[in-house]
Amino acid sequence: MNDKDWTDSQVDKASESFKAVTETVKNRLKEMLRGPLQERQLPIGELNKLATVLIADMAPEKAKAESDEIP
Amino acid sequence: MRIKSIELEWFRGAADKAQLALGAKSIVVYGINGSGKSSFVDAIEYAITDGRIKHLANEYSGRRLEKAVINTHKPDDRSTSLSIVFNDGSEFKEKIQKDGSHINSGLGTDSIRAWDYQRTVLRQDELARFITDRKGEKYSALLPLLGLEHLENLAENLRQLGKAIETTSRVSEIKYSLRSIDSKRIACFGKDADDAIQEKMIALHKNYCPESKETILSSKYIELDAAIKARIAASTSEQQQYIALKDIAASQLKEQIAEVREVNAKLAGAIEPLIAEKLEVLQATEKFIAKSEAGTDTACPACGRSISVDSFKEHIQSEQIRLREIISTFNSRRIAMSSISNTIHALKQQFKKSELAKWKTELLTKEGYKEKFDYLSSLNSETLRTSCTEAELKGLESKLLPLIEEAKQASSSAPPDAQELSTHKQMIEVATEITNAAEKSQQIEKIETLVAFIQFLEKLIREGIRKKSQSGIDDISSDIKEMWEMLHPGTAIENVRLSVPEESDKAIDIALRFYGVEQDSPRLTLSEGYRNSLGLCIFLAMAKRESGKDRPVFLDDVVVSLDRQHRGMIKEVIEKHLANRQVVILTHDREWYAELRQQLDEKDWKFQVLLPYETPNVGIRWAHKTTTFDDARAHLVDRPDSAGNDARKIMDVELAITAEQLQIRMPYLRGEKNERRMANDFLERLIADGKKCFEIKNGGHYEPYAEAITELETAKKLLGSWGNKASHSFDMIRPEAEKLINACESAYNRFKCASCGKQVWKAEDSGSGLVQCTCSGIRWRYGKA
Repeated sequence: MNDKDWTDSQVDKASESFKAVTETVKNRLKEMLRGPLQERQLPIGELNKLATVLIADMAPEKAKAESDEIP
Repeated sequence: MRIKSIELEWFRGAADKAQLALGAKSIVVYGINGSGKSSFVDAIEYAITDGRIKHLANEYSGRRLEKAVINTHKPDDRSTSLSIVFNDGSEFKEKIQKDGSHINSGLGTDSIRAWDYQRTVLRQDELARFITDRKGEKYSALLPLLGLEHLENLAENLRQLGKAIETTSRVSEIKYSLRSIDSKRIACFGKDADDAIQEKMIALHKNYCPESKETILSSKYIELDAAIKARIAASTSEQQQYIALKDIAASQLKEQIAEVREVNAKLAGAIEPLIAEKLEVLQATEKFIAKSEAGTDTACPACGRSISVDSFKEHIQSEQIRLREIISTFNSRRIAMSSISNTIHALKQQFKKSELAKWKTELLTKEGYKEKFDYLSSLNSETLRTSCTEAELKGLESKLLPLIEEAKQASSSAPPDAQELSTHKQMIEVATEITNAAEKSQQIEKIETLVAFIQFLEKLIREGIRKKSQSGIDDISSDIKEMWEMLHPGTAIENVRLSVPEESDKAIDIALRFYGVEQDSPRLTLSEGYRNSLGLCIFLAMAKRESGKDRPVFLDDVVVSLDRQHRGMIKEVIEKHLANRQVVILTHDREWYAELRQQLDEKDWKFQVLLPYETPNVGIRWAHKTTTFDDARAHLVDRPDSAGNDARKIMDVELAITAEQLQIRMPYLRGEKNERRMANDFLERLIADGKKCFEIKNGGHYEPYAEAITELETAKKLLGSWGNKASHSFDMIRPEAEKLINACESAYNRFKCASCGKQVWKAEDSGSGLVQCTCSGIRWRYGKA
C-alpha cells in the first residue's frame, strides 16, 4: 500500500470510532496528511491556521431543525 | 555517485594545489599524524554542511571558521578553494574569501549538499557518537534510513495540531465561563434538567404574558424579561428595595475571588522559572545568532546540551508550545478577573439605585460601613480587569463581602410578592444564560471530539511507524550483529542489536548480551575500545542502507582503539558489506596500511602515501610512487640515513605481515621482545623455511624458488650491516642507502608473483596445506618447514 492510500486508510480507521467528525474534516485531514503535514514539522503559526480551518470544518453539514420549536 | 578527485588550494593543510585523485575507486591513504590526511575529510564536511566543520568550530575560529580553514601561510595574492569532481563529470567548487564567506558553484553542489554527513564520514572521535546519543537522538538519526521521516513529521504535526486546536478555539476559557453559569443554574433551578427549566420558564411566560402569541422559546424569554422588569418598575418602593437587595445578595464576588486565587497559584509556580528561562533563551538566541554562521554549538540554557541551528529552531518551537499552556492559564485568569471587574461595576450601579437610598442611610450609621462604601466608590473596576493582586483581593473580601452579606440579610425579610418577583427576575436571567451556554457546550463538544479524533489518528500513525520501522531496524540489527561477530569472533558479547523500547515512541537503543546477561545499553559494560568498535559497526551498517544512493564513505583513523587482531577484520567487513561503494580509508597506522595494501584488490582500490608535513608553505605532499619504498627514496638526496632507515622500517612491518600470512613459527622471546621483532628476525625464519617451502612453477612442475631466497639473503645481509648505520650512527651514504632500498624492495617483491601480480598467499588451497598466488605461479607449502 503506498503512503497516500495508507494515510487515507488511517483516517478512515479513526473515523470508525468518531462518528461525530464531519466528512469535511475527514477529507480535509486526508488532504493535509498527504501534503503539508508530512513535508516537515510545521511552525506554530501554520498549525494555528490549519487548526482554524478544521474547527470551521466541524460545522454541521445539515441545517439543524430549530431545537427549541415548541411542538 | 563517486568522487573522482578532491583538490584543495590553501585550504587547511594544503598549500598550492593538493589533490587526492581517487579516480572513482576506493582508496587507502597512509600518512603520519599531521601529514594532512584529514584536510580532505574536512573538505567533504565543508561541502556537505555548507561551510561548517564541527571539530573546528570554537571561540577562536572566527564567525565563518576563517581562522581555521584558510592555510595560515596563504600568500595574499592566492585564494582558498576546494573542488570535488564526481564520476559523472559534475563538480562542486567552493571559493573561500578572507572573511570566511564562500561562493560555491558547479552542478555537483545540490548533490553533495543532499548527503547526510553522519552517514558519510566517520572520524576517530565520532566512533562512539551513536552509542552515547540519547534514545531520541538515535531515533532521529535512524529515521531517514528507515524512510519514515515523513511519517514522523505526520505524527508530530498531528500532536501539535491537536494542541493548536485547543488553543485556537479557547476551549479552556469557554469551559471556565460555563462553570460560573453552572453555579448560577444550581442556585436557581437546583438539579432540574434543561427540559424542566424550559417548562418552568414557559409556565412563567404564560403567567406574565397571557396574551402572547410567541412560539419561539428565545423570543418568549425576551418577552418574559421585559414583563418582569415592567412589573418591578410598577411595584412599591419597598418591593423595589428588596428586589435590588436580592440582586446584590446574588453576587458571586466571593466565588470569583476564590477563582482568581486558584489561578494565581497555578501561575505562581510557572511564572518565575519561566521568566528566568525565557531571559536565558533570549540571551542564548543572541549568542547563537552571532555564532550560528560559524556553526558553533551553543549549550541550550534549558537543557544544557549543545545544539545545531536546525535543532535550535525545533527547541524554540518546543518552548513556544510550553508557553501555550501558560498562556491558556493566563487567559483563564483574565476571565476570572474580568468577572470580578463586571461584578464590581454591577455592585457600584446597584448600590446607587434610589430604591436602596433609605437602606443605605441606615447602614451607614453602623461602625465601619462608611469606609466600606467609600472603598466601593473609589474602586476602578476596569483596573481590576487587568491586575488583581492578593492585596486587592483581600480588600474586596474585607470591604465588599460584608456589604453583600448585609444586603442578603435585609432581603431575606422581603414580603412574599417581592421575593417572588425577585426570584422570577433571576430565573429569566439565568435561563437566558443557560440557553446561550448550551450553544457554547455544543461548541466545546465539537472541539473535544475533533481533538480526540486527531489524537487517535496520531496514535494510529505511531503504531504504523513502529510496524514499518521494525523490518528496517531488524535489517540494520542483523548487519550490526554480523559485523560485530566478524570483528570479534568468539567473544561472549553477542546478539548486538537495535531495540525499540516498549514504553516510548520516538526512541531506539542498543541492546546486547554480555556473558549471558542481557544489557539494555552498551554503556553499562563495554570498554571504550569495544564501544568504538561497536560504533564502527553501527556506522557501517547504517551507511550500507544508503547503498542505493551510491555515496562514498570516509573512515578517518577509525581503528586507533582497535587491537591488531580486530583491526585485521575490518577489511573483511568492508568487502562484504560495502563491496559496491567507494570507501576512503585514512590511517596513520603503517602496519594496517601495509596489511590493507596486501589484502585489498588493486582493481578496486588505490593506495597513496602522504609525506611528512614540512611547513604550511609547502603544504600536503604525496609520495610520488604508489610503493612504500618510495617514501625512502624521497630522502635519498638530502637524508640518505633516513632513507635507509625507512627501508628498514618498511621491512620490519611488511615482513611481519608476510610471516603471519605464511604461518612462520617464530621462536619465543622473553617479554616485549616477542612483540617487537625486526626485519632480520623474520628474514632469518623466512629464509630457513623458504628453502623448503617456497616454490616456483617451472613448466609443469614446481621447484624451490632459489632466486627469492638469494634476494632475501642479500637483503638480510645489507640490513644487518647497513641498517644500524642508518638508524644509529647516521653516517650512511647515498649509494649505500639506494642499494639497501633496492635490495629490500626486490626481496619483498619476491612474495608477489611476476605473472599475476598477486601475493603468494592470495589464493589459499585449504586442502593441501599450502598457499599460492592466483595463477599458481608461486606457492608456499606450510607443512614442509
